[in-house]
Amino acid sequence: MLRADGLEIYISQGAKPGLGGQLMAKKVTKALAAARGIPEGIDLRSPSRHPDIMGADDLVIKVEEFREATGYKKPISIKMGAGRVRDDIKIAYKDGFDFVQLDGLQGSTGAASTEVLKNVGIPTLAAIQEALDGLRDIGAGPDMPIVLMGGIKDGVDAVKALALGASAVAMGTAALIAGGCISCMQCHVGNCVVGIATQDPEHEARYQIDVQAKAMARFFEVVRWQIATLTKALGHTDFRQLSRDDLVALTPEAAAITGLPYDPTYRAQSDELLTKVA
Amino acid sequence: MAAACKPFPLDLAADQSKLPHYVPPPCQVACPIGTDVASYVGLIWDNDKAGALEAITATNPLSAVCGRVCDAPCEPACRRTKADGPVAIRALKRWVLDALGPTFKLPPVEPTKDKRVAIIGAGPAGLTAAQDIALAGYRVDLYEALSKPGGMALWGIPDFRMPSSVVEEDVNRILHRCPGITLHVNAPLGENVSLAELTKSHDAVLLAIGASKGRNLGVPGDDLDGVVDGVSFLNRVNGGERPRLPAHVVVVGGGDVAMDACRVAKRLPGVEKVTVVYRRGPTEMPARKHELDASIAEGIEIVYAVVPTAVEAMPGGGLRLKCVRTEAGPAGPDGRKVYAPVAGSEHDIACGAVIAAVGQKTSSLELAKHGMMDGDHIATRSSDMGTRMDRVFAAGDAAFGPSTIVQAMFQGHKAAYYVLAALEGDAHPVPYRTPYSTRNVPVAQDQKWEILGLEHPKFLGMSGGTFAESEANYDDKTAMEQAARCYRCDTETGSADYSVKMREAIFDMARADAKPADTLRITRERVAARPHEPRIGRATFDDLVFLPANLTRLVIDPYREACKTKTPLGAGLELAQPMLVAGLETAPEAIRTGAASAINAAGGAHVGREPLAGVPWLQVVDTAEQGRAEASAVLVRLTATAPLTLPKPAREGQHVGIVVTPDSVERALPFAVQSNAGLVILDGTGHLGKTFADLSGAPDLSLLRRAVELMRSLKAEEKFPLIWFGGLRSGTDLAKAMALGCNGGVAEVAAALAMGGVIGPAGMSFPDADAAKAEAGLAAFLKAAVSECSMMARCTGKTDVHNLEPEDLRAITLAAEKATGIVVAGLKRAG
Repeated sequence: MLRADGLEIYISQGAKPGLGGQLMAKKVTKALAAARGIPEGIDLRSPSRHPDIMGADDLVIKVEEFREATGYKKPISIKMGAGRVRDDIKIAYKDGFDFVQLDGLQGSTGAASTEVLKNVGIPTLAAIQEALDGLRDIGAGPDMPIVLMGGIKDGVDAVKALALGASAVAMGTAALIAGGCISCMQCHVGNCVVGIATQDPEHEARYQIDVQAKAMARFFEVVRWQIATLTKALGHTDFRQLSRDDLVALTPEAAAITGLPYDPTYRAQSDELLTKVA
Repeated sequence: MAAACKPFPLDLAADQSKLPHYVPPPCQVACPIGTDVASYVGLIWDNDKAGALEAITATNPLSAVCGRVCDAPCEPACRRTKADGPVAIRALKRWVLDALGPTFKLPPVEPTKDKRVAIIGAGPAGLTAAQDIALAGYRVDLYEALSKPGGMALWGIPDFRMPSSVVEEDVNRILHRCPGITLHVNAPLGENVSLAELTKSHDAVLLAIGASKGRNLGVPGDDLDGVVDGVSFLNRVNGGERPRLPAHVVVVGGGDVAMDACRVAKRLPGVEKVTVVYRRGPTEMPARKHELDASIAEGIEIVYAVVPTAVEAMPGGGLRLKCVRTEAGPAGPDGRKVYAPVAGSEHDIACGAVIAAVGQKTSSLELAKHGMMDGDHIATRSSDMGTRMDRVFAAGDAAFGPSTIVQAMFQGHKAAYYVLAALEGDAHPVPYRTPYSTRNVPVAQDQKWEILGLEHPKFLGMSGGTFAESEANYDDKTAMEQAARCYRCDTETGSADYSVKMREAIFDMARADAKPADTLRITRERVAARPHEPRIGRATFDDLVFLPANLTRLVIDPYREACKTKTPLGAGLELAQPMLVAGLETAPEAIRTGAASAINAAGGAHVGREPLAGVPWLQVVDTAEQGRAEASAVLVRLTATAPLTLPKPAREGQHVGIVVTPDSVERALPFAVQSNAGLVILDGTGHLGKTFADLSGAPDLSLLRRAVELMRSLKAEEKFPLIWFGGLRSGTDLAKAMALGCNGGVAEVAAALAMGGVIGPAGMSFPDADAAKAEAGLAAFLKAAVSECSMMARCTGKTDVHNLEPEDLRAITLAAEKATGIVVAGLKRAG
């Protein structure tokens, strides 16, 4: 814990909220078994919930425990898939987390049941809306930073999330794709051809860490550039100035979810702006 | 079909796949002629050789040739290259062509137009252009300087790499398909035919004369006896000669001609040793690695970083190749390192013959006379393949210098496109673009695709005879396995959130050679992107999502707490789970037998007009019909106009109920409450009781909301069980129906599909009805459905599937909100 820069209590993730993990026996190698303290070669089943967190009261004790253990120096966050966000976020706020990582329906993985992947959780767009509404309900607007994730694919998505009120965004799948994932969605099989989601040493050896690390770095640099460029094109000097006024809804659903003005024919001069700024 | 169209539609800028998000896979983009690689590889995996052949030959007139000797730029581009080696695209092509090529013929396309085109040179570029132009209906006179058509494919490639019969196969196919092509052999330009005459007798002329003159070594003594150029040497041997050579032959050069020449030399009588001398290092070598490996495997010595400075005749016979070593310097303008001679490293190589494979050029006195040449190639504009003379075009090695067969075919296609534009008076055609089409071959990947490794075709070398083929074909099993390795980049969607286009954009953003302009383009495209057109039609179960438990509720851990699925529908109908099955009335007996066992094992029930031996039966009857004693329940279909009556029980204790449709719910449900019905089926399709009612379309989900609201207004909630019928494909759909207020649901088409049913124009059929398979299929489907249903319940924090409630759902479309009354997630809206 002391080696970390911050702590995250993971409740669930957007791709499979409500489910635990199950690592097939084939993937439980010697190294993995040692790390997790279980016998080698049996299915590793992670529970769907923390056995010692039975509710908000347990959670507040847990946060306090972690604070003590880290000398009150490390930020502690909570990560959850998007469900009853409007209510969940109030508990997270009252339990004293420093920030919330909110993961919407569009979160991807190649290692979850398709049914849960597609049918459990609300869209990322709705999640941020409900989170901010929930915080506003209890007068806690700006005190609780939200890191939004779940289908954020590039700087364009990031700018939209930031304008909607997220304090930051996070990426999983997009970063993996930038780092060579071919998104074949077969992570659970354990034979990942590019050597990412596999414990097979031969397949692991295929992954060129230095090459792909550079690719990811380039991707994030482009994301940064996109955020900066779009922010400037929208007439701001800092991404924190982005706001709902910078957005319109292009579908009736997006308008219903966010309350933004519905304007499907909107074509910003953004292209022109973009060219000018770039 | 082919008869009516030009080689390609004129609108080449348009993507021909007709798919909104289609991005051609990297192999297809790397292929100069846009071969639909992923489709043909997918078809090979599916054992559809004929389909694969169609995909291969669609843009490639020299498919058989390419199966043997294409330099396959697709393979290094293959995404799997970086993992464990590319898909063996070329060798797979050969496998298809070896099997079907010799007998493959397309129906002839007769000329329909008067204009004539003269093409000089029947090599890859000339043949490709001739076919395109002839298919457009024009007559083509194809002039070939030598005695047989094929160009470098025939004369430049030795028999052990490609027997001449393979070239003949492709050429004959072209000539058979295009009766409008008249082939004139032994007709070199400037001797039998003159450019001046051709420009008069024809409406356009295309020069595709190749670059068949080998360059000299360019050092003192390169004209001595025993020094020959590589191309002439290969031409002689391919013409059938087998000259006796001295024991030690040195080949100078590092290209494909050098590789062919050294392997040919090694096969000729008298030769004991062959050495290749190349001025740079192995990584700079232009020859394909495949060819280099073959040369080494055949015992040829390769000497890198040595350049000849002179050839001298030794007294008493033989030659002395004076050489100097070279050393790598910085990279030159082409990215390859420049090798400079090292002072003091001079040395000699004694040998009997020197073959200079140091490049080719085009030489034509006839063209030079007309001022058409620019150095050693024809002055050609790459923008429209035009030359310095009006209506005279050029393509292939003669126009742009020596290249590959597939590059020459690309230029042939391109030149044909501009020739056709000129013939049709189109002065400003849309710039030519390689067409990228896809055959949308479904992906049904081999289970082992991730672990199957690259297997090269067996290398035979000279084991089958000196000039016998040096590479074997795949056997069928290996071909299928190799095809299974394809990632199928053409079809990958990943998930709804990552379209192929998005994934490609992310790849582009991460690329090492991405430039600011690329970043700007990608960003612009993303900003300009607009959502898909909204789906038309009714809301479906897909428009609803469950709310997972996080902090306000706790999820249920399956390893600690079970989620109950028991479904009591009344006395004698105490089912173990909520998924019932319908649609078995017309199924073959084997299917009915299998289904009965599976339903019984799952503790379910059957809904339909006919009983299923030994299975709890919910009999569906029309108004006038009598129920049967063996039915657990009898339900009458009440349509919009049917009289409101309950069926008479056929025995004591039999449940009676009704089937309610969207048309009848307002009338029938109050009646059901009033008359103390025991059971109600909500039929969202309005057709339950007819064969495969599910096929009539998406169910009307508003029936559920209306029924629940009616029951509530009558204060009759939970008075009788409600069972949903319509559009249930999975346990998740069922869970949604249950959350909306039902006690169970009925699967019909989904269950039939699980039992091997096939949907055709005439509805559902069971082509290979097998009781055991049907039983296993339906058992697995029911097991999965029940498990999915309880998974949804657990995710929302429920320990019983019957505790699912509307509050566990949110809509993600406004159509679903309207139909079901479940609000759209996000902003809290009034009302």
